[in-house]
Amino acid sequence: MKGKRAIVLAFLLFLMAQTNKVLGQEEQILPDSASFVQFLINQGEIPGLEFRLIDATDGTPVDSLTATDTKIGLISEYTSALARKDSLLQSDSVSAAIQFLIYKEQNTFPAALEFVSNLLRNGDIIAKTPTNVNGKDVISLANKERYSPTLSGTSAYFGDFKIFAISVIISLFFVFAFLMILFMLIFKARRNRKEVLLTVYDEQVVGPLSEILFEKSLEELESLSDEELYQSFPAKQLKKPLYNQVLVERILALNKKMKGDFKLKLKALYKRLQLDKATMDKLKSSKWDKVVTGLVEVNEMDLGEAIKEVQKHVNSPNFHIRSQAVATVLTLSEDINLSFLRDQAFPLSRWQQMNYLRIIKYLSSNRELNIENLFDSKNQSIRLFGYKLVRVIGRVDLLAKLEEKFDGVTEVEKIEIIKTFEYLGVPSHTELVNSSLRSENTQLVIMAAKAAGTIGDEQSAKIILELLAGNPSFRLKMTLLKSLQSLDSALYTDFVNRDSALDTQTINSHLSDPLLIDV
Amino acid sequence: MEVLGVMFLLLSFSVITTYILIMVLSALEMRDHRRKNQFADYQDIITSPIAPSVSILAPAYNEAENIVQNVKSLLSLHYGKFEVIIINDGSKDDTLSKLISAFELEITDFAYNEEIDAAPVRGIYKSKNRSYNRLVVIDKENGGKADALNAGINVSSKEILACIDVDCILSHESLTRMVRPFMEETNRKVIAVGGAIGIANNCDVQDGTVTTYRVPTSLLGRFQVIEYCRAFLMGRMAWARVNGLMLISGAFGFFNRELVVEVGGYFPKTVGEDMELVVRMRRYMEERNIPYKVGFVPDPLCWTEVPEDGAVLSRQRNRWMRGTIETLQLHRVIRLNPSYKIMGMMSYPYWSVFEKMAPVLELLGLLYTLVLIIIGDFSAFYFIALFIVLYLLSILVSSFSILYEQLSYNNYKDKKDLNKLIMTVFLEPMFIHPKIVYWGLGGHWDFIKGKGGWGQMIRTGFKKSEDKKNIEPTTLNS
Repeated sequence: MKGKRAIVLAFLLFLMAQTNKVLGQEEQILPDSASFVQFLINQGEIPGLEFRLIDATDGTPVDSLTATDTKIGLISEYTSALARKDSLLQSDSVSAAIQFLIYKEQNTFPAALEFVSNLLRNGDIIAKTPTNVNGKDVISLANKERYSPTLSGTSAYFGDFKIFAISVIISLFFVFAFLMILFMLIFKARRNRKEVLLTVYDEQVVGPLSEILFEKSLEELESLSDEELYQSFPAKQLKKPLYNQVLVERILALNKKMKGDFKLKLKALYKRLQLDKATMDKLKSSKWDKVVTGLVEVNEMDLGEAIKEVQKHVNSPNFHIRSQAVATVLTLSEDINLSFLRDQAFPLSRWQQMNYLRIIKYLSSNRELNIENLFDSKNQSIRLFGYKLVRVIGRVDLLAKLEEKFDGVTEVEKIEIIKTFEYLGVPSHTELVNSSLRSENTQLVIMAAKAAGTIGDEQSAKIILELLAGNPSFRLKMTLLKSLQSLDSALYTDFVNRDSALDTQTINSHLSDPLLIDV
Repeated sequence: MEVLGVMFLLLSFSVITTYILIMVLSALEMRDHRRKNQFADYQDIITSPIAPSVSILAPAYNEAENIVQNVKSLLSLHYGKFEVIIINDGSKDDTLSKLISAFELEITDFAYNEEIDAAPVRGIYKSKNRSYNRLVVIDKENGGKADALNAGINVSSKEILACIDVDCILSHESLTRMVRPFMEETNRKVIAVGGAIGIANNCDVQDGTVTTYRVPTSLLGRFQVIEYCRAFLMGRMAWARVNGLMLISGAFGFFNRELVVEVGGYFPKTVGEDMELVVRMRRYMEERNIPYKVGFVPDPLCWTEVPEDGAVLSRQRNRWMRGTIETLQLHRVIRLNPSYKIMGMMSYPYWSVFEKMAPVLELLGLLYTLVLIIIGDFSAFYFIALFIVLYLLSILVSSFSILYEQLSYNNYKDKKDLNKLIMTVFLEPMFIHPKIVYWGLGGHWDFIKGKGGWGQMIRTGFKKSEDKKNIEPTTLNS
């Protein structure tokens, strides 16, 4: 750990040393007295620096002889001091010298030079460029020009593409980050506000709902005037979408739990409050989640009048809309033919099948549905679903129809049909099982072998023995032996006694182990 | 030098663009996921005869301390058709004996069919007690996690494999929610589904579920909270949006069993077996032109304890890096190969540049800066500007992932926790990221030295997805 720190420290020191090196490359601004004098001549007035003429012999100020005010005699420009010096020499033959004053204090020539150099280095003054008199010697003038960074002005940023690009990106980052934080704050604030409002509205809604449900009959509820209704559910509140949402959710939740008269009352109230219109509007929304919400409401509130609008969605390209629309039509429609389901263009997912199965299972306890219509669908997944329905609902009466169709369907469907026969355990349809045992499709053979154990006959046992003689895969062999064991234990025992193959003996041990009955 | 400069600038811009794209894609995916969840009734799946059956595979190596509690938790999951297969991978402690006594296990004559090569199985146990009917315990010789999973696959009998770490905490709803993507697709086969993993350090756990979330106490722990949010709520969601997921976490992944067997199961010679399997399964589907999907569920359904100790974390990151390099090396035939569509043209290059090469490129960037300083061509302005941009990007991406967590699940409800996370966001680029880069470089170095991997095989790579099946099995030490 110490070693790592030492390396980091050394690296930092190295960086610092390099930085000093870079800073140390500063050039000498005024290298000698001649250049300083020339600079003073060119520059004119320099803040903080003034000049005064003094007698070259005794050092007394020349102008103090003529004036009492000490300020008189201070000259701000070096050229003026030179001119004054010349005129004194010419008119009075006075030999004067120029004294340097820094902030009114007498100073030496080197001190003045250092002072001006510092001003230049710090950028407190900018050196004036002498006018190019002849207009030709540009290079020599450029050499005399003091270096100044090109990035000092705003336009310089736009002149350098890389700097511009980086500046734009940093700015965009700040904007993006700012927007994100803003969005987060707004979203959180809205959500908090919404949660508070939901609680408030919920409290406002629960009381009147209970009162209406438990204290008013259906007739009284239907005959309520608008004024009476608005006393419980204020018209002003009903205009608020969030209030309506709470009301709908409450009614839907109660509707799920209630039965009989209460359901009717809730439906009547739903319509009296014109919530059904909002539901209908949702069905026409361009947002899929709104449409699905509308469909759920139609389904839960049993809004039969919306069925036509719902039917428009049963073949929607949106999976969720389609699923909910079919589920709603299944619940509300009086159509026992299931033709809308048979004509579905999109394949059914298992998720959809699970939902439809629940509804159909419930409906089939009240009325007989023509599930056989699904066998004629052009959509294979619908046909497969139909076979599953026979199995799950226990429609033994449709097995004969399935047997009729068996030869003309695909192998995937055959598997599903055999599964149905096996599940229902009706042993009078062995022919399709036996014929499938000889199929070249391994999956179909495995399914048929499995079914043979439940609904097979002597013929099945014979075919199984034939298949076992053909050295099947481990998985198939296990299924075949298991079926043979249930079909004819004597044949099974005879086979395992005769066949000394390791896998046969392993499978036999497995099938004989009471702990592995379900495996 | 100028060319290198431009290259690094382009790389920086591509990092920025990629991450912004990931943020946008993941936001869209999260929005859709939340909307879909509104209408889903998961209760039906538990009992529906149409729902798929699940085999939970959990390898255990020296897990005696918590194995009984963990198995009980797995057996209590809310689902109709599932089995729990615990694979004791040659533990040196009393993992097996604890299981035997706690669940009244007895050795059986299970007909073990080695469809996928694995180290020898010593025995398969079932319980005499009908309450534990779903439990199967495999006792096998040590062969590593992937090998143990392969043995579990051989014993499994259900349609979907849920491969998990035995010490993971699973939500009761985990199975119902994870099988949903397998049930929803109509035109594509769902071959695998990944789940998000939460960090359980410092959290309260009750009845197998995290009840109170708290951020870990250490900076390394908090960094991993942010990192997991970034990886699961952003990265994986974005890749799931474009069906480009190449990695499903080994701690919580669901796979189509039939396909896993078809491609030859896990490859035990790589330390990145989870990623390697997904890539191989995808290749199999692409090479046969079968439409498929790899899904992802971002809901918090699985939690694990992450290492807060630098030494342990460094080994983990070293392993992850080697796993990534090995997988990319094994499947380099898909690199920029249009036949592999999104995986070849987008996912693979992304993993190569932004995951595998990231630490190397960062090191090169540092060296480049040093060279510039030495030769006196160093521009402090550009350096600082670029540094600020990347620092801001890091903060932006991390904040965004926390925002996701807050908007979607709001698990860290305590304001102090949120503040700590935000503080970590600012500190991470300075104090944690350099370590991650260093550990990643260690992974590269170890890969070059040939540590852990299967040298020649990995250098040669798989020409076809099924080539793994032709590799002779050998036993590895965990």
